[in-house]
Amino acid sequence: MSRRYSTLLGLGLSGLGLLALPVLVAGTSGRDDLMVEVPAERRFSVAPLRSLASPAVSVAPARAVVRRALGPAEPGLELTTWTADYGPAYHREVTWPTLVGPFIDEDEFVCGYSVHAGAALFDTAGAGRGLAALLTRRLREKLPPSLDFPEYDVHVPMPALRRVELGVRLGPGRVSFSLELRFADGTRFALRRIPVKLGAAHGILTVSRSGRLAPPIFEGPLRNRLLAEGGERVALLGGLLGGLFGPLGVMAGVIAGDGVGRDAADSMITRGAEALATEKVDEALRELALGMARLTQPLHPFSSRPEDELMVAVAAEPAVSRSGITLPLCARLRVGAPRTDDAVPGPVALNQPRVEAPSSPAAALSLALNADALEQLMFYLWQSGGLGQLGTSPLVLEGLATEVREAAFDFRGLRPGLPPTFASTDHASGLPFVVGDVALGAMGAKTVVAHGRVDLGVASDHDAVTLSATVPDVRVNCVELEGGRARLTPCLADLLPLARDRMGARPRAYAWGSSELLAKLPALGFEGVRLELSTLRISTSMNPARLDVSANARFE
Amino acid sequence: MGLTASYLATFVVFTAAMMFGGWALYAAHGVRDAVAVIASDFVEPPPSRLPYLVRGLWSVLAYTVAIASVVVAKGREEKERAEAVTSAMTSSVMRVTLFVVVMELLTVLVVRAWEGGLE
Repeated sequence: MSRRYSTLLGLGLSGLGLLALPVLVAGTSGRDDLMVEVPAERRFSVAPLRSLASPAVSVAPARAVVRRALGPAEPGLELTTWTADYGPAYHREVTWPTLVGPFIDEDEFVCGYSVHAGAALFDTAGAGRGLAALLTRRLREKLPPSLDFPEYDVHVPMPALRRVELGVRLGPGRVSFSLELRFADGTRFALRRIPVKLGAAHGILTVSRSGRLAPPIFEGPLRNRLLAEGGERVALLGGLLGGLFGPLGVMAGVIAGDGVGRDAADSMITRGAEALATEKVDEALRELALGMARLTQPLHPFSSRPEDELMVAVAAEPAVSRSGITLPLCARLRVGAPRTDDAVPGPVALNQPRVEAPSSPAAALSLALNADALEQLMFYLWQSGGLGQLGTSPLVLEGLATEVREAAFDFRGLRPGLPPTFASTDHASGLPFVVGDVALGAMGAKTVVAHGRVDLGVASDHDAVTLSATVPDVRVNCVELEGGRARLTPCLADLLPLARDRMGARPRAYAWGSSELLAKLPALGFEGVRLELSTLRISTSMNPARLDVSANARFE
Repeated sequence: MGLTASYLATFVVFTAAMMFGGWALYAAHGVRDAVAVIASDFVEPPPSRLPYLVRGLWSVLAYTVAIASVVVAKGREEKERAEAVTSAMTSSVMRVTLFVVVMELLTVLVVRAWEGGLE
């Protein structure tokens, strides 16, 4: 073969060799290690019932194995994961989240809350001092300068009110008030025992007298002057006086009733005074009950979201004991615009039994939430966009594994497309929540999404509240929506084991000062009385799942 | 042919040495199935890794032929002085190095183009 032909042959072989690479690469490219297609318009499914939870899917390769994250009977986020293994080195997986009902409509109340007010909170010489101050203020406002009855020619100047002592005693199933007024001239009026029963009707706390009043005590210069000025005529005024002075009606009625005693038997005086006092106490309690009803009016908890609406209702009769008052509550949380996604009808209904707030005689307010209440709060945080904001905050981003933040895709933070739901498991380092469809960023036309479980634990120590988050399970894949189908393919699969190890190995902890958190709460109070909270304590526990929040409290 | 066989032998020895080193590292860290993990790309590659395996094998063959050709061509050139031998060797090394660098970049571009990574 001549040199010329040899050269041509060599060039031809070289050209064929060069062309062979693109041909070979083209022939082996474009195949997914694992591909699952789900008929869906979104990156997730919502199934009101478990029987509707499994969509018809196409899976390649056929050897892919499917596993689910939740048990067959539980509502909540179900993570269906398909896996395909290529030797021991390459593990591929994709996950499809389905939110399984039943759901609680946003218009329904969730009765998973319990509030306990410690007995010391009603000690008017201590933490309840503000309550006595409020009563004193109201009495002074309503006190007339004199008791005038021109038709009877009775004019008695009203002495200045010097001191009001209010007492609240808690006993098994009952509340007892005592009231003592002391005037500047030395007059003293006292009701030693006002038995009151707390109840619940139509979601409103009811307050009513539960027994007879103890005989009132009225003594001093004012009584003597009334008797001297009006004599027997004053007896006719008992009913009228009651209506004039509101809270003082009790006293006025007793004053008048006592006037009868000038010429009548002592027992008759006592009965008359008691009857009038009872009437006025009942009237005052009805006013108090109306005030309680106003507490159930819709509230707007955040000024930045004026369309959000919170309503609170009493779930059952309060439990009164020597250590305090425990009030089971229901709450309705309506989320106004803007909303994250209307495809999710509401929080998942777990129908867990209510947990009781820890009973303590201390001057503290305690709030206990069961799993249903936690679901409601999580749903609110998600639907109102709070979780999305948190997921893109520096606080969370800096806590993420470096492998996730610096992975080769357009990372944009954590944006949950579904509300986290409570997961029942015995092996959790905190309150376990399943998260699904958490968008991490984009990879071309595909969205990188993560799913998994996050165990949230909260602990308090001195003046610090620490939130810890452990991620015992994390799954990542890509999803692309096209023509009514969601196409799931693996992505970041080779980084995932390392990120999974690092995230599961040690919890991320975030600490805040207790007073710093309390300062962010809106001002609590009524009628000029401030409820001051200090030393916030938060804890979580399982079996049953609950979150407890308590703080030292005092009325100022 | 001798040069071709030499390059292939070098490839085999080099690859075996890398696998041995990897096995030693994995064994020190207690990784199970160390050999199977290291050999996965050859034994059971996932579909997404096939283009890289094809590129690797193609590159080995291309380098085998190219390196042998360059060296033989330079070696067969007439040399009038002793320094010309050293010059030919140096020139061969430079050409081979340049070829390898160009081919590495080119083949990566080819694979990434088909993988969609250049969008």
